[in-house]
Amino acid sequence: MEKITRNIIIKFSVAILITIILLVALSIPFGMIPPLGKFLFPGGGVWKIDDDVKNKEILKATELEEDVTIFRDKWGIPHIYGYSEKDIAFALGYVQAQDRLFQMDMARRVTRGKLSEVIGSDALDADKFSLSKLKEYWALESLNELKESTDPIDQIIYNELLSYSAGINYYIKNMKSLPLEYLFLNFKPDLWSPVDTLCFIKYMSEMLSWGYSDFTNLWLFDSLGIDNYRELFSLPYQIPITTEYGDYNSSELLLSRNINQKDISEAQEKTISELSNLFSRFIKDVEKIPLEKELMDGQKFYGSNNWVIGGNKTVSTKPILCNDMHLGHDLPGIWYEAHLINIDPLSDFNVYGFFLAGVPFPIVGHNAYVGWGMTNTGFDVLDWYYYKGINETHYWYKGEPKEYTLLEFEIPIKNKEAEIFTVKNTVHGPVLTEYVVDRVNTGVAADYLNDVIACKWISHNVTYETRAIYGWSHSKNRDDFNEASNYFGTPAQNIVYADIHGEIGIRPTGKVPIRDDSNIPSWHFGNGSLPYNGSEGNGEWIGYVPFDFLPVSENPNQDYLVSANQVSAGSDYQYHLQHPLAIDNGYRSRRLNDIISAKDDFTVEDMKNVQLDVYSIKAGNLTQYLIDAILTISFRTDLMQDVIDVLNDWDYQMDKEEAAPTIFYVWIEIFQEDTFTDEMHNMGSPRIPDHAILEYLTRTNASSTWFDDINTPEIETRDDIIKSSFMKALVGLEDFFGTEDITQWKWGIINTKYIPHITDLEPLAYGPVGVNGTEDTVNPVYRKSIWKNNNVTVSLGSGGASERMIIDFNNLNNSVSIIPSGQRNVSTSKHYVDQLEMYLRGEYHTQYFAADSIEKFQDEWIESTILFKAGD
Amino acid sequence: MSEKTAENRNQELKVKTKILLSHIKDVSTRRANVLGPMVCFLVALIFVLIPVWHLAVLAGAIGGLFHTKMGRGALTGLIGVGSAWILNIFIELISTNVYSMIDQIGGIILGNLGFGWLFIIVIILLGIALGALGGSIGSGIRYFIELKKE
Repeated sequence: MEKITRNIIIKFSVAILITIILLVALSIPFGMIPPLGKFLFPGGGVWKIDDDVKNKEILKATELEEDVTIFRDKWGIPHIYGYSEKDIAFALGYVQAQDRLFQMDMARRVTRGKLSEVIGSDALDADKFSLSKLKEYWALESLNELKESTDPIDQIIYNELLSYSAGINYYIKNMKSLPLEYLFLNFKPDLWSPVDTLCFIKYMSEMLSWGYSDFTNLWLFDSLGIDNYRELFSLPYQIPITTEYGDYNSSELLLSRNINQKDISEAQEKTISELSNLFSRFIKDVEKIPLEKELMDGQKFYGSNNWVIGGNKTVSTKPILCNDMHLGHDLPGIWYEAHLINIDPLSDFNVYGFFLAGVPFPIVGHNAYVGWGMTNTGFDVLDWYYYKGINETHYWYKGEPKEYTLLEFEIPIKNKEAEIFTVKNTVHGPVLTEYVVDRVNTGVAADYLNDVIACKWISHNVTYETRAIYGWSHSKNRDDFNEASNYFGTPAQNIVYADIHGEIGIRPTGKVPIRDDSNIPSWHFGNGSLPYNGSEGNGEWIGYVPFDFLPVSENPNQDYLVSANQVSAGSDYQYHLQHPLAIDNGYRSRRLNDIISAKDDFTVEDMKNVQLDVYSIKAGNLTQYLIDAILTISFRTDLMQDVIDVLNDWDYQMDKEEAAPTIFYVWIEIFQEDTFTDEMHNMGSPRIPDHAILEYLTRTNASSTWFDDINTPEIETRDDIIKSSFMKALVGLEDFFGTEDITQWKWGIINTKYIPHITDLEPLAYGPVGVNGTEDTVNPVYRKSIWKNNNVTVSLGSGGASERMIIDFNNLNNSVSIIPSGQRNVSTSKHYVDQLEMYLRGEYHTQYFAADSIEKFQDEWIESTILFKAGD
Repeated sequence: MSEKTAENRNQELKVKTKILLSHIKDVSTRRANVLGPMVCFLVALIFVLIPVWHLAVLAGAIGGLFHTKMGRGALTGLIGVGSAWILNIFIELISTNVYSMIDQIGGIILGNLGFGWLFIIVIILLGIALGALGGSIGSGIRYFIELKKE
């Protein structure tokens, strides 16, 4: 008996022990694997994530003054009907959180330097750098100003921000299950506050106006010298956005001063070289931060198209406005579509737009009177300064020691004590080398104590973008719209405009600094396009270009306006606004101007075709040079003849099913590389010139010295390089495709689009899929190099038009749009990639804009309904 | 003769009583074999709906209380919790799109899509393991209670 009991006790103890071990093992994460018990247990975790929202929900909210009705249409787009904009903002917050909570949460964490709190100390570098940019600091300052303002519109905006936050928080507090990403990362979202929204606007400003172009510019100048710089980095073929300031003169290169190489002394050359070394060292350190590197890589491609056509050029005799903003693609996409309607009889507020998930105001869109769209201006609104440091607390400024001012931030870190991070500031702005100094301890970077680098950025200000966007949403005519535009500070945008009254316009808008360049050295370009000597007090900001002096075109004679990130204004314009390296090469604007100037009877259907246009101006202008050069080869193989035939028959459409785009693009990449790399590599240049320069040289100077290969004793001309690069292309293509049958060399095989999830988790991504277009077609696809190490490679482009919108002012209900993702960030939802698939097919969806009352929203359009009841 | 008869009757009675007791015990064991997993199944199902995953052990333990032998208890918990989880998973799989999500999770963890089924099996095995462990603990507890009574 005793023996039996002893056995039972042993077995019992073992069972308890194993149970405890199993329970503990299932409760803790292993690397990236979350606690499996909570994650996989039936009844909870992944089993309870709702793919889609319920067909009908009735909810009560004490925060509401009146009931709100939300209909989601068949694309999951909410149409929100309320009796006040405050209530509508609450409902918008709720539905955005329902669809995009993780995206919203991560965007604010990135901006506010709070990634370490959920990821751990691996994200500490990114958090510190983000805090150093002072986005959160200035978002808080902007919010405080808004809160304290006695202006009634500011108070309305502030209250809408509060109501919007309450809507998000209503969802967070009542949600039944966490999105998958939270389960994986094993944390819960904090409540939302209005500063998170303002941080999101600073985040957009960072995406579109933060950068290191001044360093690149200095490096180019140092390595090439001013004459080569002028020749290779000028901007031929620009058609100014605004029409009132004359033509653009490419020889002016957008430099505010005339600099001659012979006037630069040896001592100055040495200074330039030392500075170039300092900044290239700094940039290499910055590139070690993954998020910063991602931002820098992405910025190479950011661009957009917008255009507006006046009534004289449309069948309807009313304007049509089009916009597609080009950004990196992610799942979910950056834009969230929504339709907001105030059904109070005294209000005519009815807005359809593209919102950032996290912001209650439409960045682009239209109301019942006016519409607007945006492209990035490339205005130079960030200046870098270098100083002689003295010690940890002081630096030299205008001949005297100056003490740094300090800002302290607490960085919470997962499973660790929070860290206090101090940002030092000079008179201009935050010291970024201070952050790099911290890394000395890890042996990663050199000491910048004596060479301090700080920056002054337009976002280091209280800014009023919400006021501008609120104003646009409520504008009824051009005057209202212009008044609201005055508040738009950053990121500076080419804001295209049209209204039901038949007016059109475009206004490159944003705060642009005016610098005091009176004391800069003679070699300096001025105007903020190279780093300034901060210790000497060079390049101080002494004001901003007045709003009324920013370039503008309204109802021009040509009756259309186009912007595609090209130069803002012609030579007659008095201010230098843009950074020379931030201006697009002009291919998209050339094509758009060609198409739109050619016709006077446009319709919405025509506009769709224009947005989807993949005609390559580059190919149209260069292919004949290629063919002519090959024809001089006396002995041509069958393959060469096939290629000539294909190119001769080509209509220059970058069609994914055709072979000619493949041949042309591989060839031109090699042609570009073989033309410039030999000299540029020798000179130590950080980049080679753009295709537009190659086009210019090819068309105008067949014996340019740049065509010569300096590694051979012979002197090569344009045609020599065309032929040699063509032969390389043929070998590479034959190797890649494994066949001489060129009908198999389809562009879509090497030109693909891959859309990652925001976490970069591959199973949640879409693609790769073959697509039409290139980076320079009106319908763009961000392309990676297809010629690497003498081999053809597949380009996984993950960017392009982040939305497409066409507004018809003859009948606003005829307006259409599309986004390259879906409304909902749940990978198994029918609205995860539904619009993306339409987008890839070149389709659009209606906006149901005419449904300006609950009754008008027809039953067959409704996929789901939320009835928000006001009160307890 | 009469004494002998009385003795025989006594003997017969004892045998009959023994048979009856054995029969009763058989019935009780058989009932426990059926009732235990049923109760365990129902409790596990309720816990799935609550849902607190640790309680799967408790559901198994409740099933195990029907037995004093730990092997039987483990079997009861295994069947009860396992069948409750299988039923719940089956209903979810046929009525929702959750398999796609589990497949994606498999892809995230293992690097390739197409292993969702493996995760489903792992989940069921976890349920079975928790149920079996709970069941053996429950029957162990029952054994000690019985021991104290004696």
